[in-house]
Amino acid sequence: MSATAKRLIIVQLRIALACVFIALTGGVVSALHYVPAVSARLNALSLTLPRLRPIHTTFATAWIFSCGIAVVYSHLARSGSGLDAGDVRRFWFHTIAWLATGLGILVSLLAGVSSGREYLEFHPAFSLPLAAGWAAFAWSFLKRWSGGFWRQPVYVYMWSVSALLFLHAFAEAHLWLLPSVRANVVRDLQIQWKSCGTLVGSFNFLVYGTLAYVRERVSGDERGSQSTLSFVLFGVGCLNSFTNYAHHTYHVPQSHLVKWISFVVSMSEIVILWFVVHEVVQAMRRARSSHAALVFIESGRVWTAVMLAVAMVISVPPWNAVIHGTTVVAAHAMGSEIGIDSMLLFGAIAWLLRDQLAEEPALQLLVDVAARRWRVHALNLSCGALVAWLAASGLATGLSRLHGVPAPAWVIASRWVFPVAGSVAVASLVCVLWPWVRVVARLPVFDEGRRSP
Amino acid sequence: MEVRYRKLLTSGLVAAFAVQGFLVYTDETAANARELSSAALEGRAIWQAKNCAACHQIYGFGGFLGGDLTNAARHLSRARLEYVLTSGSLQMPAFRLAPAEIDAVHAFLSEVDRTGVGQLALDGGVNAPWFEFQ
Repeated sequence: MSATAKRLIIVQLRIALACVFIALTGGVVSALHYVPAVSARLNALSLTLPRLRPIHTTFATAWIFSCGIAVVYSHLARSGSGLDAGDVRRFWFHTIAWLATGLGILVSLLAGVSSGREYLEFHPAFSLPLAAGWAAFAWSFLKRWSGGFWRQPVYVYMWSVSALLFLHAFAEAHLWLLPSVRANVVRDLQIQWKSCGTLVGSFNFLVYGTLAYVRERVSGDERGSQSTLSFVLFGVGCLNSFTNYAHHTYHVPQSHLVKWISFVVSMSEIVILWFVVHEVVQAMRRARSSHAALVFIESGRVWTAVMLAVAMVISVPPWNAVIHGTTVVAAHAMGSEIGIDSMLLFGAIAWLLRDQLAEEPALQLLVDVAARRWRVHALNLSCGALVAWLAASGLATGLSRLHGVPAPAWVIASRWVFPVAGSVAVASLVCVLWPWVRVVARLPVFDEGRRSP
Repeated sequence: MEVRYRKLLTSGLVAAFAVQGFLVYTDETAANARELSSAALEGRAIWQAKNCAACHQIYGFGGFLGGDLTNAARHLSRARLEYVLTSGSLQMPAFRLAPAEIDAVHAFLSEVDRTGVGQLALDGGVNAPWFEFQ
């Protein structure tokens, strides 16, 4: 890999790590709103939840996209003739666009300026530079395969879907700006759920592609990424990305056909679940690999199995009716973002830093520090506690609603668990991330031979 | 996987994506839904400007700290809404809204309420809107 490509990837990793730290800070302070006395004090300081929560969700999403993009660039740098001058120009274009936009979003959200739209809560004025940056990235990626796409490994298919889905979903998510959509609440809700579901599909495919790519690089076995099984799983995953968002919309007034399609397609996830569980069992039987990346990927597999099971439960209509609108949905979202997406991206960072970027043995050792078992176990346990509390309290609330009685007292009394478990989870995340921050800070960015501060 | 099967798979996925989009954009429920009045549209703009969705949900879309407000208009009077919006309650911050703005928010919630049922058992039954069960 050329020195230029390495520098670009290091910049991208720095952005990703900055995003995750902003998201964690926003998340911890947001969670404090679950304690009424603390919430009142935060409100007095103008740190209201409507200002804080968007910071958490926006930068958590940005972390996933940024880290995935770093891995995509590492593949582009290694394939064909590497990154050309146009790729480098487009990289700096989207990096500067996103950095300026990210800063603007952070300041505006803190100032209380928001779109008020779930998941894309920043002001729509920021959307154009974000989309332009993505178009530049997508162009660099997609133009590479103009001569021979069909024989590419499955991760190129996944990343291509991600690149295209993002542009489509992002545009669709802004249809509310049209007066005809804005005036029709039902139409707007249908489109909003569809676009957000597809947007999640976009970053999921960025992560799944990253997983397939890193596994191929670490194992050295290229057959898996060309196999029939991997493409069948890609097809099932893709179909789910298009349609199964609708398992959140069973109560929204819309065609029952859309809901039935969602239900049937969601159940097809059992195919993925079966293979994931099978892989987990196989991995447990094998001798444990010492590679830092695989430590996180193994954890990600377990989380994938659990979250797929939860997703399938959510999709069954009677159960969905009970837990719809409760924190079970938040448990699913947080479990998926931390347990699956972030865990798999941690594996990717470990691989990128250890095998591609850090040449000094001392830095490579520092990369491995993050993957020490106690750190990973602490992260899994604290996130598990957070997700378990959200799921249990949501289920209790849903069952109470079903029987027409108030939620149990313990649900209200135990709300402190959310910020406490969340803070422990964040501390565990920092334990994992901090060694990598130190490594990335020491890697050169500007000129060869000159260390960044 | 052979290239011809990859092409077949990709074509099928593109078709599925197109069909899903067609179903959503030609949905009759939305086509037949009544458009928001100008007062409700103003209320909706306030709902978004204050980012109410950070804590409250409409049809399950939004945050979890506050309640789902899809059908809040059924039990939330104009006077109670004014009190909550201007004084706040527990974790909810006080918003300094003019009486006309409170009217607009009330109109928005009332018109959202007429579009359907946002939560199970709101009508005293145990039937989900599209799937009956015991």
